[in-house]
Amino acid sequence: MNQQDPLFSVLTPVYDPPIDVLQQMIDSVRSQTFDRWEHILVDDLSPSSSVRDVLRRAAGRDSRIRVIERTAKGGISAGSNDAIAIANGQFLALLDHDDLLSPDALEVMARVITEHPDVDYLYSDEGKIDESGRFFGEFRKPDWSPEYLRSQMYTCHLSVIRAALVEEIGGFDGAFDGSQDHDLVLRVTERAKEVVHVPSVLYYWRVIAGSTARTLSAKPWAWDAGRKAVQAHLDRIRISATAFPGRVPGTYELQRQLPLDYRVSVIISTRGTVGSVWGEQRCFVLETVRSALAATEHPEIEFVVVYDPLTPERVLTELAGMVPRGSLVLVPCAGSINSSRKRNLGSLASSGEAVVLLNDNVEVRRPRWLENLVGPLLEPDVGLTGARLVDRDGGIRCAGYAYEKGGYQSPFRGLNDHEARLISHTLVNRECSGVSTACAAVRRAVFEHVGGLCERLPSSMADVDLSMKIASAEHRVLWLANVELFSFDSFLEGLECSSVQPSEYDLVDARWGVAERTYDSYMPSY
Amino acid sequence: MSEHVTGEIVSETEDPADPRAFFTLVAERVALLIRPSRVLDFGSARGDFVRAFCEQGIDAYGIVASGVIDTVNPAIRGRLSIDATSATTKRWDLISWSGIGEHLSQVNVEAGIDAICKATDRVLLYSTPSDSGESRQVNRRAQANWASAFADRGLYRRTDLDLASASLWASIFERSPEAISDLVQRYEEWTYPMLVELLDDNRSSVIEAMRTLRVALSHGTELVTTSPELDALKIKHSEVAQELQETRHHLLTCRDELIGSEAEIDRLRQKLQAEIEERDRLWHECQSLQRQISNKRSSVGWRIWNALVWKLDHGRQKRAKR
Repeated sequence: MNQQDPLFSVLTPVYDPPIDVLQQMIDSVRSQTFDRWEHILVDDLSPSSSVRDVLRRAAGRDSRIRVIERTAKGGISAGSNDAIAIANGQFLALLDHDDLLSPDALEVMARVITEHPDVDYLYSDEGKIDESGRFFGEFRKPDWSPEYLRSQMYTCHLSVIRAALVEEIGGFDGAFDGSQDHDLVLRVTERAKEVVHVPSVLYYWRVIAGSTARTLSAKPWAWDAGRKAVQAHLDRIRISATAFPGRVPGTYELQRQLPLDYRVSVIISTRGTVGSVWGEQRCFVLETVRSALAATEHPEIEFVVVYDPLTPERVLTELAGMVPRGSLVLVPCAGSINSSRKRNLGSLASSGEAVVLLNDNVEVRRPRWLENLVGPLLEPDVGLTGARLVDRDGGIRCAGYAYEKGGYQSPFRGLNDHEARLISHTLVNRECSGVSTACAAVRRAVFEHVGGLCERLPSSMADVDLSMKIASAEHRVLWLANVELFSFDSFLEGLECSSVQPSEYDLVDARWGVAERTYDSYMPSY
Repeated sequence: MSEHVTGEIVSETEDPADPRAFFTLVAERVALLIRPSRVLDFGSARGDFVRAFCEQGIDAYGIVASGVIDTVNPAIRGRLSIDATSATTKRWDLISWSGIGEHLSQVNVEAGIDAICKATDRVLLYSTPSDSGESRQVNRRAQANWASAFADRGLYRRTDLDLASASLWASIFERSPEAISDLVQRYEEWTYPMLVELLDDNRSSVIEAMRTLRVALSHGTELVTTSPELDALKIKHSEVAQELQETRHHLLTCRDELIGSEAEIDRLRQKLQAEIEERDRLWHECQSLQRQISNKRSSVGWRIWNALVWKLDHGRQKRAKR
């Protein structure tokens, strides 16, 4: 350790914790392997004087510990702001009064700060500790994922923030008490030069009755404060969307708006296949288009249907009657079962600013699908968005792709609806490494820049390749939980899409690597 | 009011086809809503407004241009005058400012409004819109502009009185001591519902218009008449379009190949770099081992050991020979 190492100010607002828990928290700071720190504890007028006794004793034993005793109760933000006001450190580390730092927490953070001199915000992985002192529930977090942060406060602990930036934004805002840390991190990351995820468990959340770690439904007001913080963030950075409570406590759902004149081209390749769904015969493509139209109010929509010569004339006639006049482009495509080629030809015949790739065997399940799927593309760094695909029973078919464990995975595939509700990754919007083009949207400029879908990959490996191409062009790829579609098997589409040839695998491996991929930065816990 | 104000008064362009019916409509509405006892009509043309007010039992008078006084209906001639100055020294329940300001210069308009606002607390403004096509109007203004001029003199629109059924161009302004906040609230309460209604209507209208436009465009392409030249052009166009599409498709697949190749090169470069680093590491390890070996070989212990080994070997060979 030397004088170039950063000084950390560990900030802990205190209000009436169990005495032994408070002592353990203080000890976890004192036993750090890195010694350039100060610990500022602010007692918010705890009813028990023994809390103040513990704090005073700790300050008496170690000069790096400083205590503020508030004379009026002000809430967690006021306490934290009092601590910020007297902090000397270049970085602030936020520690709750009943939690623990791992012994090397500050040492690891200091090392990462040295490696990233421009970093303004760092967050680590975290675990939980129960009332008996047992460690459990390790949460391996994804790398920086702004869309995820809008849907859930996932960065949480241990958060380390450059002090100058906290001062610049005015510290904590008491209007969001209960979700004050979510609000602070949203405001910090709006201005941060660099955000770094530290993939080590450096913090343990104590699960006690009423603790947010156990259940957010214990604090409904905290959930509402979080929703308001997300909405304020959206308004500040001019994302045209409304934040609603998500499916489970602590999560938020963004409903995006799309300008009425933003032209969207939906590309569907079909051969008019008929199959049975829920005991009824249907022509898949007709139901796809019907449900797609029924679940959007967006007027500037064009359907480009690339059809095989085997497609019955009746299907094309019905399509023409279903779609508003002037909004249907039929592209004949003979002699090819190459889905990538068909979709590329469809995109070339289309005129929208955004291209939506849609399988012909899906059915839109939730309203405003098009607005929510295409809306994120208005953010200039978003290149590709994908949907939540479920089977006919509501079980997960695709919740985005992960590239790890020596291959390309489809995490959570096969989980039923109940199981999926226990995993926030299946419930909220987030960055991811890849999405299925069974339903995906991409800006035309980006699609053309990366050369569309690779026609040497007629199967679903083209999805992987497209996602990798777009990500390598430094565009964000988003998986959107609130764009939900049923995805049904159809015999011929199944033949076409599911059977991956070894040569395709080799091609994707040559471009992007498979064997050496052991860690997906957006799905590390999978 | 100065004399020259009255000199410019001419007949007005009204919105209904029958001017008499229009004046009657407005007068009826005014009588019903505010029941004035005495009314002065500025810019009375041929006295139609005065007549209409009188028919409603209102004691009405008018100021007309000097050239028309002899041509008006004898029944109301006694109620008309060219002397605006005298008229505005009296108090009136209502003064009608009907289409006169448009014919006056800026200076005269301000003087005219000053005069009538001293003579009354209530003004019936009847102003033709700026696109009415009346060529003699030298000082056309938007409704908002007239409203602003009256507001400067403490008169604000009565948002609770609706003359729209008679004319969209007519409105009542009344002196009011309202605070700005009350005034803004009153205007907001009046305009906001209309705005919401307008925007709601517009949104669906825009959506509908977009759909209609698309239909019209597709009809348009179908309605093109045929001729041999046109047919030939269409074939040519179709061929060129096909060629263009193929070129674009080729370009797209080339871009994919290019980006794929770049990705492959990047990966190979990374692999190569890793292998170079591994080779360097092994080479350094090898160098280090060689140094250790040569150090060992030059050490005293090594030499003694070597001498011992040589002696032992030599002894062994001797014994073997024996």
